[in-house]
Amino acid sequence: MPDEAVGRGVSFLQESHNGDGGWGYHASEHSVVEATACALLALQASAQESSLCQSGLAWLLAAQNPDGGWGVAEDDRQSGWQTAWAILALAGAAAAGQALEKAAIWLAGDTPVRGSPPDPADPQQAIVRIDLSITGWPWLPKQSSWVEPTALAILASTALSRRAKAASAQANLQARVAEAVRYLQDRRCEHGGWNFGNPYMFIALPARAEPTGLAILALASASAETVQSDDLAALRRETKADGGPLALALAVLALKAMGETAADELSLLLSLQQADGSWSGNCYHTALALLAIGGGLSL
Amino acid sequence: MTGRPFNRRKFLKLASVGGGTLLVVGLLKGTSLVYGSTPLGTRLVWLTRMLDRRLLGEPSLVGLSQCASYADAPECLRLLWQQAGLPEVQGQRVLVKPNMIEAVEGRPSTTSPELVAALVRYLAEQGARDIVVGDGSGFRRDLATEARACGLAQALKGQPARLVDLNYDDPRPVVAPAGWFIGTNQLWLPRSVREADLIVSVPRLKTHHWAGVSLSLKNLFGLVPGCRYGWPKNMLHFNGISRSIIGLYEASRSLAPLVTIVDGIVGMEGDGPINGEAVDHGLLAAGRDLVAVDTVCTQLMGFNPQHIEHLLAAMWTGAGQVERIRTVGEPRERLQRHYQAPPGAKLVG
Repeated sequence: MPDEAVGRGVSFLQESHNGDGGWGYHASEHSVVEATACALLALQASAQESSLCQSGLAWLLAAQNPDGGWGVAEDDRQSGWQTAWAILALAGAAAAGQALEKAAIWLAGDTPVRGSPPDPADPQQAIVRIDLSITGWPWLPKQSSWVEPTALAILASTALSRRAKAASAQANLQARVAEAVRYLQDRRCEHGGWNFGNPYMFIALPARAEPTGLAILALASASAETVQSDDLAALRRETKADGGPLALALAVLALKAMGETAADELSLLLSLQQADGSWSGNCYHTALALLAIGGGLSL
Repeated sequence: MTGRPFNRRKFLKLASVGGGTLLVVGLLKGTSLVYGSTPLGTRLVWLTRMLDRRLLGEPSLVGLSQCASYADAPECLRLLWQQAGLPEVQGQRVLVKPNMIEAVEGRPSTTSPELVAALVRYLAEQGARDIVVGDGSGFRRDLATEARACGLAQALKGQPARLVDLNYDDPRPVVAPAGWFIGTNQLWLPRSVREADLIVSVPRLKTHHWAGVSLSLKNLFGLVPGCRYGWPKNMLHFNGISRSIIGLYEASRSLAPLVTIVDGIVGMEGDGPINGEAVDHGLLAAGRDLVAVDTVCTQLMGFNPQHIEHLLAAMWTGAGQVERIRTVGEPRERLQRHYQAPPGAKLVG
């Protein structure tokens, strides 16, 4: 069943592949970095369609901005969080050495705004109850830190650290990752897990499946000991409540990375595959589902 | 609108008609709200438009309907669309934009699915060629999941409309309206927004802990694709909430006519936009001028529009009417309520 599902999913990606080498979120849409990077990761993991991989890699390399980062699409000159996905997709490519060097420098320099440590006298502190002096990564440069771009940047940094040639920004990235782990600890929700990054806003806010999955996946690569049993319980609980392919795929990836069983989540994910081989007709969802069913996210 | 060239003769005529006072107040108010880093040419365009609207312009029409329950919504909607002078939709591609921020059990934070379904049926009956129901939630990554949670997926089953996640809808850049988005002349928007012939903002009537109220204008935050700007749409907060709200209004209505139907049949008070309490209000409001509709709705919630910064920004840049408004349909007095303000906000007086 999983092998057949992977075959059908790969066929969907093959049919949705754009003539320019990339993938849009849906077939016949403009190529975007996130969908292309995830499709490449899925195809690389399934060891199929090497010609698609070559053209996808070429598209991704051509879409890199002069500053070393990537935007949402090849003509987006504002580099942002998509850079982490591009790094993950290129990390295994022999021809990507120079691009990864530039990307590592961009990622290390992608700093968010940093606030002050908590001050009990500050009324704002009573509203949000977070330590604004601890930073992770922002969605776009010079904005606030959030859970998902932080998790993606940790994963990209881990991938870069395992590639010897991309070493120039390593020291900076190591320091950033150490602080980002602290950031995730600070933003943990009251009953475990993560939402987009505000565990409290006038009242305690609940965790959500997708950010929790990404955060655990990232911590598994950088600081697995900081993942608590409450976080795993929140992931299972929120994923069950969500029930969507994105949440399920990320949950399976995270649970596998932590050495946990993911049989229920995997079974449900397989049941959501559509007749055309996709998950919700979305190349990005499909690619993550294929990674989850296969060997996971290889760093 | 903001791209219209500055007309010196008209500006001087309006300034003389209105006297210098309004001009000076406009400059001061505008400077404190949104003018800060705006080029002089754009400021003059805004001032001209503001004087034009406040001194010479026709009053904006806002339709009000007393609608006791969602079962009555189809009939109320039909009448309201005509009363408020909303446009013909024959042969048009219509984007219906509900508020689907995040469904929470027992909290009416999202637009009622019954109202959205009734609107879809009405648009189809009126001959709309293609109807898209779309939103880009600021908090949730997967709109299909959110649509199931808030009941919209079930309500749209068998209806002539497609549900589109605007967070992942083929984003492409458009020219940003002058003066509203700091440091960029580009705004990435979804295909369903770029290609619409008509956009209908269908918000839930509710409070908002940062913006004061969340109505047809604030609802436009969901047009911005998360795949470009992230979750939540942090760029809009860094740009300034009021500046972004009115900037998105200017951007979207430069692409297609924009109208609104406000869902206040059950409103939400207190800790909005998500964790507030339900208010049985029985209100539907509609109009072509979203600033005017939101002004009236704010008043019907018992709040003073002068405390809502984005309405002031709209007023002093001439983006819409805050003072010259004519209501039709149900008399305001019958729809007047007194909502609890969001925590820490002063919206009365």
